[in-house]
Amino acid sequence: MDLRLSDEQTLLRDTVRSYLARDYLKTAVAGDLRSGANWSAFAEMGLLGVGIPAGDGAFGGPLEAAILMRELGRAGSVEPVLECAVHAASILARCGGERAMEHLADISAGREIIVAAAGGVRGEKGADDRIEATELHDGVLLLEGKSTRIPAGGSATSVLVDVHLRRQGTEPAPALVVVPLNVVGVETVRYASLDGRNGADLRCRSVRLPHDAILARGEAALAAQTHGGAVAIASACSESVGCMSALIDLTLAHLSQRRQFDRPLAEFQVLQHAAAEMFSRAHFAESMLFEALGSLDRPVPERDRSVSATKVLVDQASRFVAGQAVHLHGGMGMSQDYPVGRIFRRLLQLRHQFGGESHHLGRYMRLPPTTA
Amino acid sequence: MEWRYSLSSFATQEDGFVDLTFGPQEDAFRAEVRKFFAEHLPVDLARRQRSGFLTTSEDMRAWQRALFTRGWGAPAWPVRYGGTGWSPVQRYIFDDETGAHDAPDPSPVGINLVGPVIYSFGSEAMKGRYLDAILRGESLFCQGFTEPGAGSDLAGLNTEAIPCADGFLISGSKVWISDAHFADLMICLARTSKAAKPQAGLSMFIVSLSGPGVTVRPIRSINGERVINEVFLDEVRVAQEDLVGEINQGWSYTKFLLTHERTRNASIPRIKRDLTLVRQLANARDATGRNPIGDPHCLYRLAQLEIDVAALDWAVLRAFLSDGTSPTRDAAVASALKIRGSELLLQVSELKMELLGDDVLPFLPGPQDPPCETAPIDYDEASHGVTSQYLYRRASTIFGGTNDIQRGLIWRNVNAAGSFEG
Repeated sequence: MDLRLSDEQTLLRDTVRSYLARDYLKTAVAGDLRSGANWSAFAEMGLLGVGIPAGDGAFGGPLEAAILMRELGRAGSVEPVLECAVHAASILARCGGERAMEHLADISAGREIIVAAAGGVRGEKGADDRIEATELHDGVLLLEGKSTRIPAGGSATSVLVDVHLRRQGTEPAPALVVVPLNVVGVETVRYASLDGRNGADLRCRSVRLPHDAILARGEAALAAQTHGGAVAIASACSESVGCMSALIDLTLAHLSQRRQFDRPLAEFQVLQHAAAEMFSRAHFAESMLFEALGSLDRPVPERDRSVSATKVLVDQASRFVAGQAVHLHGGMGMSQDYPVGRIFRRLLQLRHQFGGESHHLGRYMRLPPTTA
Repeated sequence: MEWRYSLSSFATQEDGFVDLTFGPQEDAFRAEVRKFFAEHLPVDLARRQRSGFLTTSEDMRAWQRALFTRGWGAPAWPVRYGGTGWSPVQRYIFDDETGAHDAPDPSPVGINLVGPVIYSFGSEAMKGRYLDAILRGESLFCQGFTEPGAGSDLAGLNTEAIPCADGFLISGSKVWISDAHFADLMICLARTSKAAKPQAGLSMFIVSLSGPGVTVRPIRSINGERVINEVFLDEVRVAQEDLVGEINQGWSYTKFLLTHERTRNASIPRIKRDLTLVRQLANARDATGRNPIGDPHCLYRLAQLEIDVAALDWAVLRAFLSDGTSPTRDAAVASALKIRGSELLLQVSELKMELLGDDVLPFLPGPQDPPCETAPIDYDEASHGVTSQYLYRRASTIFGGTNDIQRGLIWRNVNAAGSFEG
């Protein structure tokens, strides 16, 4: 058992941290991100390949993704790295095959922004929220249906969706397909999301794709989808820890600088204790990341139980730390023009984005404990 | 409901023993109140309240006008100033039904804060000038106390009121002022003397927001709605007769204003209404196949909330029925109600948000903004405003005296009393 980062992981963390501190441009997420300075820089630094497990000289994998997301959370980054370079990429890497590798190369190079809408990691989806895919005889895959509440979907060029795949006379099987948003028949409904980014809903009306758009089917598709989802949740929790870290630093600075009753707020014991509790909760949340990260290669029920436990713990800490940060900043915490409010809303988004506390506590309770 | 304690635990009903039920007169009153809401609360106004977005000034004025017409503009005021003379239980019932019917809280600052200060400390002329307009909903007030350097330490404020020919010239800046963008008037604390003790040099004024020298600038709030503002005062002329009460007595009026309302900050009618909506939301989702209420954790949270809210409700009722013989006790309780109310208000909002599932993720424009070009697919209208409401409610641990200040007040009062028994 060793919880220390390797030299390469430390280098990754430090490189990202210094870029974010020095060169990261905090602009609203708008327009085609692929041409944005930050997205290009991320691509150049190899960060968009972080969802690809290490090999061939590249660094990557769930732990690297978590390290990256922690730094991005701390810096208040608004680009869809989590949804694209971590979630979608992790699913694609698990799919394997030529087409999936091409998509991964497009993501790494910053050429395409593919976000995952694959269900199972989000909250309860409506029964009618599905995409039917039919393999026609002429080599065409026909898509019909909808996929809703896709995080960062409004900034994507393509969406990785799970579909019900029908072949003549057979039972429908799950399958994974990348749907480019510029294809005829695809309607993208974009709207602002809770954290100020761009969410989207997708509707497919007689969308025609080539057969090789199917990246995985059946058990392989489910396995890839749930694995990618687990990696994404671990990374989302790590981003949350980064956000909490930033909020604590902002709060410490505020308590030192703000004076009331002729002294800095930091001299009031009650506020000292509040900050102390924020530290503790964030520390335990960070510690819990290892529960999720350590579970990713274990049998599926164990993995899912650990991932859900992590989401619950981190979300509860996030709610406390975020609430305290707003509270301790007084009126400033209510203003959208200070970082506290923006980070608060990003944490709120992350608490709900991959299924909320009740969802994961329920899943945890339903999964059997490991007998060991 | 009567709450007269008997020294003998074996006293009979006739001796006025504790009665924990509402009596027939109280039930009849409740029915009368419900009839009034059914007949006079516009359906669309209630719907807007239910949405979770903040009450518009138009709705505030319209509802205040309707209440005034009925003679119910300010139930808690003394009768001679327009109050109803209701018993405490009747006032509790009226607030309860206001929440249950999604009626707006009547003109919060004017009715609950400014009016009582004016009729308690203002001159007869001032009462004549303002009380009726507040009652009718013609004058909406905002509260101009907080400054960039004076939040919890309000006495440290810097806005100055310099005497001039026919009154005062007020200069300074106020911040986090809710509703200054539509209020007609601001109740304003300013410094009139540089006394050794800062509290001793403050005076209270009524300032018109439409006069020269007043600039109201919006602050972008995390809930996405127009609510909080900066207010800049640049030699704003205020007439002598708009000084409230005596000069340099502003601090004592402020303490009165902040502690006069003992139960409203518990937000119990609002919380109870939200719980009803939560139950409806959970049940409604059964029909679409989403069944969060089947999730044991949601069931547990709802059960726990209902229990906690019941305790708060009883505590609020006790506060209404307090005989006032222990002011330190009452003060400590008022702080406890405010703290607990803010906590439960947030908890019920958080539960609402969880029950929305993925519908919590889109953050749509509020009613004051241009609408979305296309709405999200299969979007449940009930979701609209729930998040905005939760974000606004984060202020509840801060305004009205932060929860930390409130705990300090509990300590001071309980310590002064020396016993839980008061």
